[in-house]
Amino acid sequence: MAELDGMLAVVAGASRPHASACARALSRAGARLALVDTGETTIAGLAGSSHQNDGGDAYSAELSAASVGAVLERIEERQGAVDILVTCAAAPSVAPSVELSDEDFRGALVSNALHAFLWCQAAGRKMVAAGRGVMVNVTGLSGMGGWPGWLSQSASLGAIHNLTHTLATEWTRHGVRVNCLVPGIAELDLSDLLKTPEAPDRETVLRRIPRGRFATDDDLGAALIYLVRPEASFISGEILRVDGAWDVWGRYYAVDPAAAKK
Amino acid sequence: MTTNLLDVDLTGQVAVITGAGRGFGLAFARAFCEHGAVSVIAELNEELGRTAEKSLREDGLRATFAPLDVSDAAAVEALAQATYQRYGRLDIWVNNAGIARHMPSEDVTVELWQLGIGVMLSGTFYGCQAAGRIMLKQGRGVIINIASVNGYLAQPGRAVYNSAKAGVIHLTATLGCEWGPRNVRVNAVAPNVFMTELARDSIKFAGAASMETYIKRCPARRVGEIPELVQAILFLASPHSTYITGQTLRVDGAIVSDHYL
Repeated sequence: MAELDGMLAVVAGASRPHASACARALSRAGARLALVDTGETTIAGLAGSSHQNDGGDAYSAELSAASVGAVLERIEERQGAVDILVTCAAAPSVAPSVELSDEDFRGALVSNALHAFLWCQAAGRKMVAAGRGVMVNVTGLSGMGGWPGWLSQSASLGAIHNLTHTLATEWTRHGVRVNCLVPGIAELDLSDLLKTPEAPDRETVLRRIPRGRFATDDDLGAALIYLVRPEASFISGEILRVDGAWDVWGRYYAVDPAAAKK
Repeated sequence: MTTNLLDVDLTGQVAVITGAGRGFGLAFARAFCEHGAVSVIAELNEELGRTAEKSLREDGLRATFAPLDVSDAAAVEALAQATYQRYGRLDIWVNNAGIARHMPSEDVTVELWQLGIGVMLSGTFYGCQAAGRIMLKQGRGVIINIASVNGYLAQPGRAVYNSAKAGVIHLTATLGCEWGPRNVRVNAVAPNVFMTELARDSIKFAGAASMETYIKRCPARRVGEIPELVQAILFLASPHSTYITGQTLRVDGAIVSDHYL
């Protein structure tokens, strides 16, 4: 694939689970990076790492419209106009729904749904005015449907999916594409999965993936680059799963009926 | 088995149910009769059809067997017309006939593909069209298609069945849009596994889960009971649902909602 030619990509939620895979892929494809999160320490760690390209920088923004707006202004002053926005979902807080606290529920809505909204809106204002831009909201499989014990994550990621649909209906005509990228289960997600009420072991999770292996950073990165590139210029409002067929599988049958016959 | 939870009065109505010789279809035919309708048991297997007719008549219900291969468009059209001529009305048409022949997709022959699609997708369309032509003229009517949760979910080895059922869901939505303004409602139900002969056929195939696994996978932790599906059919056939069309109602113990392990 051709390069992203020094385009500027903002990664919001840069210390979150799948952010480094996204940042690395963007950097490798030639994009310049502006990495943003709420905490300074984690960002400094990411900014200093090997996947940082020239002109990249790290920022800290609170989850308010004013703070996000101000940071976006600072990014533009220092690095120029933003071409690509990537928002990343937070790690889940897993608990049986009867025990879920209102703080945890509100927390997930803030760190996922509000986070995506604030960044998309702030970047969208500029992109719509410029008549071009692309956004990718990185969510998770629990946003595709019911996941026992994952209520706050599932509800808040589902909100991002519909936010994406709505923004796409408003902004695509102005040259701004808005999509979601749904990472498959990677090894790094196992610790969260193992916290759930049914507490599956590693092999059970692996058997649940029709593709027969865990997702890698490169799987996610390649899909992200595809979505932000001009080859995907008619794709907007899409929820692209990179999940090895996890979500479509009806789970009544063995993955390989031919093997099961033996 | 009497199912009378909903206050549904179908007195004087005429219902045609395909694949009604056994399983779901026979339960629907019986339920329509018990709520006052005449049921036409459209069935390919003559022995099953005659037995079903006999069992309903022995209970004092008004049912009649009509031999039918739903994959034969002309035969479907002829049955719809004959029913209308005989009774002077056609109120309910249920496309229920189905067939389960699961196997690895690389082994599916053209004949098997045509058979499955012919019965479950083409057969459903022929039924909708034949009934629809009469109902549109009549200015009212209810069509109910039997889809499946497998129209939403994917499973290895079920290319034919699941593709047909997915097609039924979208066919239902399309006809719901098209015929809604003319007072012909088209809806579907998507059952999870129920204890029917077809389900028993399904679990025999290679790679199929055991009944225990089906139960474990379902958030309700059980298979469906036939009266639960019958209630859904009665609801969709009744005036309780007059604003519902183009819809597929899942009767599935939340299996399609569960995207987890």
